[in-house]
Amino acid sequence: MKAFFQLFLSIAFLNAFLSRIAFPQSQNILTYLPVTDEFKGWYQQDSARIFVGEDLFTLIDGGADIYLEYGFRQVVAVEYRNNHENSIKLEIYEMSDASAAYGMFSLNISTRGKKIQIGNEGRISDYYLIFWKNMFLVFLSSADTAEETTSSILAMATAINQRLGAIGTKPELVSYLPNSGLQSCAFLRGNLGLSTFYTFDTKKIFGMKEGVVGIYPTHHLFIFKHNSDSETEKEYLIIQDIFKTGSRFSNFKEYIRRCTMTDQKGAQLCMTYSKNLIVIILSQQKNDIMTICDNVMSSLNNH
Amino acid sequence: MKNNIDRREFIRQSVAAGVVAAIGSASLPSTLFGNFIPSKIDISVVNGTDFFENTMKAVEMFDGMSKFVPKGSKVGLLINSPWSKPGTYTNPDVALAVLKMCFDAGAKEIYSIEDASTNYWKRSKLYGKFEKEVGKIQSGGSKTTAKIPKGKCLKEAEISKTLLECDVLINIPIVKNHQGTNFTANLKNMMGACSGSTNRFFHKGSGKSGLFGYYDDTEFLSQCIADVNLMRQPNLCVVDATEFVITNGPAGPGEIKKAHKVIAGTNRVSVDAYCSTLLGLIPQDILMIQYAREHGLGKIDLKKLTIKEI
Repeated sequence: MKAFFQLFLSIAFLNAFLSRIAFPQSQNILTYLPVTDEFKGWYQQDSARIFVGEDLFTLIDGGADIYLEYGFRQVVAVEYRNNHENSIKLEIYEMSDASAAYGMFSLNISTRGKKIQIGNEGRISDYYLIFWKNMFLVFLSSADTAEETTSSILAMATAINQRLGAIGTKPELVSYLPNSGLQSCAFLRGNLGLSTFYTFDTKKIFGMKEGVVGIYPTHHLFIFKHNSDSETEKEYLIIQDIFKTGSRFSNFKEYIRRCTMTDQKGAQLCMTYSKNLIVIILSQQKNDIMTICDNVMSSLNNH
Repeated sequence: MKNNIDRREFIRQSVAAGVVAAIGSASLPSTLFGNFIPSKIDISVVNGTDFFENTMKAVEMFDGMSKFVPKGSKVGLLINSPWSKPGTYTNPDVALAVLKMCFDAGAKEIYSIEDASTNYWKRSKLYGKFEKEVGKIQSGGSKTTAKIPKGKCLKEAEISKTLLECDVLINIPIVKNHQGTNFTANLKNMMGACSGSTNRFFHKGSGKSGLFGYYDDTEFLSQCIADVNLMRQPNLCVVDATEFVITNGPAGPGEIKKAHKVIAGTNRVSVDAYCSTLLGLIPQDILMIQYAREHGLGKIDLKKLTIKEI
């Protein structure tokens, strides 16, 4: 009987522990929704739908994978309509932390979008607005680009922003990117995010926990952070061997702690490592990639 | 670029044609041979902003819909219709053009395998003109569990019964970004015919995903997609590459590329290989395309395909 009771307690404890990891307690996500009374002519189409954890597949199907890679808690999805049959779709994603929210924001901003002062950062483009604030990522979109709809999207975003509370901070790794010439950057938490920018291999070869990519006029700069210096060196050697022996790259040249190669489209790559960071420079232009690499490493060493 | 039918393909097509002549096409299961009708071209591409007309032209370049849809046949349309944000769903003008061509060719019954809603069709300005035809579309109906003996990761799937049983299958996807596989078009659209639990298996079935694992097992997902494509080859693929998201796919919202192309072809792997280039990708870099090629489902070397673009 005692053993049974102990087993029962253990299961109950484990269940409570797992529940907290899967669905951490947070403020009711519905409280972040704008109140339609504030927006004349707009009404909420149906009840707000909340999707927690892996239920995200129900809302965005295969798009859920990358949110889960970054760290996802829950999302609320609502549609608003007005009397002209215009529609605004709102999704507020609560991610696991501010880095995850920033990461998904950085991956999804449109290069054609215009920066707006909302939340930590925001962008508005033809038909949608996206911003992140602390651990939240907000999308507002519409099928039409009528001025009335666009101004309502902005007003709703402002209302949500006020409800979301404190500002969060970007992941520290972003600050490793040299500022000079940096056009845009993205924070990575796995291979799905990485493959958005470049296919180093069709297989999963990087074991990084965090990464950043900086886009510069002459090149892309990838920085992958590992748990330790020894782990970094070990992974560098494995990846170097994959690049050297595989068929994806040509003109492979090996130096001390550095290698260079050319990809199928003629872009040059240079890979190196320092401490717990693996650094890769990808240049589509015929620049001196070794000089770019020297400058990057100098900047990183001074960080 | 030349029309490239190798010896084995020629023999296969000849045997199939002989069988048809001998026993009549009605008794030949189309799932067995799929598209066996040789064409002068592999892929047609039509540029322009009249998406309805351009869809008709893209199919005309394959000698018209009657080549694929015999009179009195039962046609299944697999349309990527469940999404609602711009650039995430097949433009209904493209689907309406296919629908019209099927009825004109004499199709007896037309099924929407993924059950496109009335709201989907209403997004087209041409809906009023074809409301009657849309009203005749039948529901894709129930799912059935079917074995996939040659599947490497997926051994069985809960899939639309209509997809397996219809005389003619027409795949009508949209090309777009997909943050899990980088790309989606014909091959991945087959997931639209599968049940939710089968699709979940694609994403989690490797056992590497889950609470303490990763969600980036693209190899397993891609192999499952290639495997499910063993179940049925579409007779025709008509792809919407008019306006599509190049970020934040499949659900959007995301940045939209306006390529204004409608693409048709008889081999989904080859068509997908071509379509991947519209997103700046290399076909060999997309695992599901690579794995489908390894299954022998199609060629991906664009230099060896006859692509006609107008």
